[in-house]
Amino acid sequence: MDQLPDIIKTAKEEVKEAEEAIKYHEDLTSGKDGNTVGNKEKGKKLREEFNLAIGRLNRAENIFKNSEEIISFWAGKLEFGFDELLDDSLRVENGGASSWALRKKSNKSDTGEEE
Amino acid sequence: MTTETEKKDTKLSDLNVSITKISQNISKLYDERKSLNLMSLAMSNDLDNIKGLPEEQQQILIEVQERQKEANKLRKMRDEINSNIILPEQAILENLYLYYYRLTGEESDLRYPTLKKEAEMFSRFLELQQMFTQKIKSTQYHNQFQELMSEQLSTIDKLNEIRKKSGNSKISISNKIDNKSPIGFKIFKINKKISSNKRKIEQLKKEKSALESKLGIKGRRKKKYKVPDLSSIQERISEGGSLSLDDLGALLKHGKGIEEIEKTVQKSKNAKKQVKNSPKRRIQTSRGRRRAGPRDTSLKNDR
Repeated sequence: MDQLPDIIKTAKEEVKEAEEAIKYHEDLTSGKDGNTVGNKEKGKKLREEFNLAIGRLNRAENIFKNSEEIISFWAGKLEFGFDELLDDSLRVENGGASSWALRKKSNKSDTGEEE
Repeated sequence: MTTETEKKDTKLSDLNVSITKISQNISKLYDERKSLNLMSLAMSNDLDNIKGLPEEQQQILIEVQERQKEANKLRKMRDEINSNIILPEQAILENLYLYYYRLTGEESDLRYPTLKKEAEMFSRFLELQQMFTQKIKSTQYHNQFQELMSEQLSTIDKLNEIRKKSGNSKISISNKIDNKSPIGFKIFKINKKISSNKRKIEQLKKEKSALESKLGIKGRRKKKYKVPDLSSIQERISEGGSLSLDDLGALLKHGKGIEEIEKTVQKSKNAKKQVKNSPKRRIQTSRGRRRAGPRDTSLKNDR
C-alpha cells in the first residue's frame, strides 16, 4: 500500500515521456518526406506504448482510490466475522452441495427446459 | 489460435470430462452389483434354508449380512459426498493452488481483481478447503467399503470350504440372475445400465480420437518399454558404441558392471577367434628340428 504513491508517480512520468516521444516523432515526420512506412510503424509503436502507460496509471490510481474501501471491507470482516463469505463453505461442511454441483444442476435444468 | 481450434479444444476437454464421469459411474455400478450379489447370497439365495443349516454356517451368513449392511451404509455415504462434490480430489487441489496464488500473489502490470471479485474468490477458496476435507472422507469411506467387500469374499470362500467338507454344493456368485426376485431384478437393471454406459463410453472415445486426429494430436498410447537385450549391449560395448540410459539400467539390473561385461565380451571374442581359426589349422609333417622344446623340462636336459 505504501508503494502506491511511488508507483503512481513513476506511471505519470512514463505517460509524460510517451506523450513527448509521440509529439517529437510527429514534429520530425510532419514534412513531405516524413510519411514513410517506417515512420508510420514507429508512430504506431509509440502510441501503443502510450496506451500501456496510461492503462497502468489508471489502474494504479483506481487501486489507490479504492484502497480505503478495500481495507475497511477486510478490516470489518476480521472484526465482525466472514459471514456471507462462509456460506458456501458451511453448506459443504453440513453435507450440502458445492457451488460446482449446484451450477451443474442449474445448467442441466436450463438445457432440459430448452429441450 | 483460431476460434475453430479453440472450439475443438473445448469440445475435447468436455469429452474427457464426460468419459471420466461415465467411467466413474460404471465403477460405481460394478460396486453396487457386487454388493447386491453378496446380499442376494446372504439372503440365502443359493442356500436351501438358513434355519436348516448347521450353526457354524448360519453364523457366517449372519456375519455376511451384517457386514453387507455396513458396507452399503459406507457406499451410500461415499456416493452422497461424491454427488455433492463433483470435482475430483486432484481438481480441488489445483483450484486451491490457483485461488491461493490469485489472492496472495503479486500481479503483473497492477492487474489486481476488484473487491467484488476478490471477495468471491475468497469465498470459493474457503469452500474448496471444505470440499477437500469432505473428499478425503469420501476416499476413506471408499477404502473401508473395499476392505469390507474383500472380507465378504473371503468369508464366502470360508463358507465354501465348510460346505465342501460337509459335501454340500459350492456357493458361487453366479451370473445367472433370477429376475423375479427383487434383488435379482435390481442386478438385472444394473447390468443393463452398465452395458448402456459402456456403449456410451465407446462412442465418446471414438469421437475423442476423431477430434484428436483433427487437432493433430497423436495418440497418447504409452510406448511399451522394451527391455534392452543384454547380448546386444555387450556387442555394442565391444564395438566401442555408446550406451544409453536404458542400457545402463539393464546392466545394473542384471548386476553386471561394464568391466564384467567387457571380460565376458573378451572371452567370447577369443572363443569366436578359436572357432574361426580352427578350420585353417593344417596338420602336416615338419622337417628338421623341432622348433619348440618339450614341455617337460627333464626331457629338455636330455637333448
